[in-house]
Amino acid sequence: MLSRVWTAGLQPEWKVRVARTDTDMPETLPQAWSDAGDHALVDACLAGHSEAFAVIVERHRRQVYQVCYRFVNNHEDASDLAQDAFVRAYKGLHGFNRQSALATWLYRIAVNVSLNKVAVKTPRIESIAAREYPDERGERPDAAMLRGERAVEVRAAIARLPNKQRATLILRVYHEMPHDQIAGILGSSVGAVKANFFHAMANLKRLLQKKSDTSCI
Amino acid sequence: MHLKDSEFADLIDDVLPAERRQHLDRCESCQARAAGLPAVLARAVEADVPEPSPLFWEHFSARVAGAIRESSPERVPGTAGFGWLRRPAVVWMSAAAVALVVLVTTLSRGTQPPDPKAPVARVPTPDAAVQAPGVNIDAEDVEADQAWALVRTAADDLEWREEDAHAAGLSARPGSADRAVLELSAEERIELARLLDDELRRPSGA
Repeated sequence: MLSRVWTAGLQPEWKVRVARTDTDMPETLPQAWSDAGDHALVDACLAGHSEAFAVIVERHRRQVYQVCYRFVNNHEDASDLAQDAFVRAYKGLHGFNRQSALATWLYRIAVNVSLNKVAVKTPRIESIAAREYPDERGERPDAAMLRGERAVEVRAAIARLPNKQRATLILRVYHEMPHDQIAGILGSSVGAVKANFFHAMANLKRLLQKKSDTSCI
Repeated sequence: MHLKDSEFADLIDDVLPAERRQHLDRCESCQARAAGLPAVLARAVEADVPEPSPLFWEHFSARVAGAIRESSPERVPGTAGFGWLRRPAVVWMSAAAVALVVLVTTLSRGTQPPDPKAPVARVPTPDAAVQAPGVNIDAEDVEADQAWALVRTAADDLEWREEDAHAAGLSARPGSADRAVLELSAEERIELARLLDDELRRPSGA
């Protein structure tokens, strides 16, 4: 509680007391929340401790970014989408259904903002040089380059899939989500998700085969 | 019966029931549809996302926090507190806004000719102060008045440099700012709050 007494200069006997509750958290709050569960962090945010959201961002930013990247295939758009996803999440915390994991809910938001993005913009063709920060697996440079080129081809092929198939494949293959969780995110039935997954794989096979045939000509 | 599309997903996941796998072993049509799927899956798995610079992650959280601050604060949970007012840029802008409003109010009142019909201001007693005519504020209202709380918080770090005011041909007596704000009508205080709010909503870099 912060309280303060104001005294008007010309009326020294006239005192007005103004008080407010100080809900701000100490600067060290994110550290204090670092061990808290996701739902506890959500509770803290809703209780006015908005700094707890920084822990949520730090905890889930990589996965959210990667989901977005899978849709747009470039770092700039992916980082913007990931940021947008977290801002939307923050604004919509009141609507978070605690029956699901926070990560699932964040995935859903990330998928939605990504689908909205690709619905109005053709995905950028990713250059081979997109791999600016190669991971260090100790492999030979030529092997790393070949792997990078194959990855670009796969991501380009995935970008050409219909949206639902693409979303299903991304969540299933790269985020190892069970079909029922994907169904919850995409608002589909489990059977539809499985069918979409199969069609996504079949189309991916066809697209990669076509690319391979073109390269051989 | 041929495998359904969803059963091919089970095949990819390696959870296809034994009796359906027996059908697959006998059915060339289903075998053709299933051909190559494991290889495609293996190739897809290898296509990882390029890892951003480590510096990116350091800045990303700050970007998100900044975007949240710049978005509609009244719709964001946790903005019941006034912590965002403590940002140096906000404090500086709000102080400037308060100084401007107080200056204009003081000058406009100082240049108006005295109204002979106007009631003579009374020096309020502690009990009478909250009922003083023209002030139109009582203690309970002040306690609950968000606009007043905003003014008080924004003016917290205001530094009134009298030498500058004198150099500009202006003068302010101690307590003038307090009095000027307190003497605003309800509509004027709402307008002041709106001006301050507009000022505070502007991006910090602006």
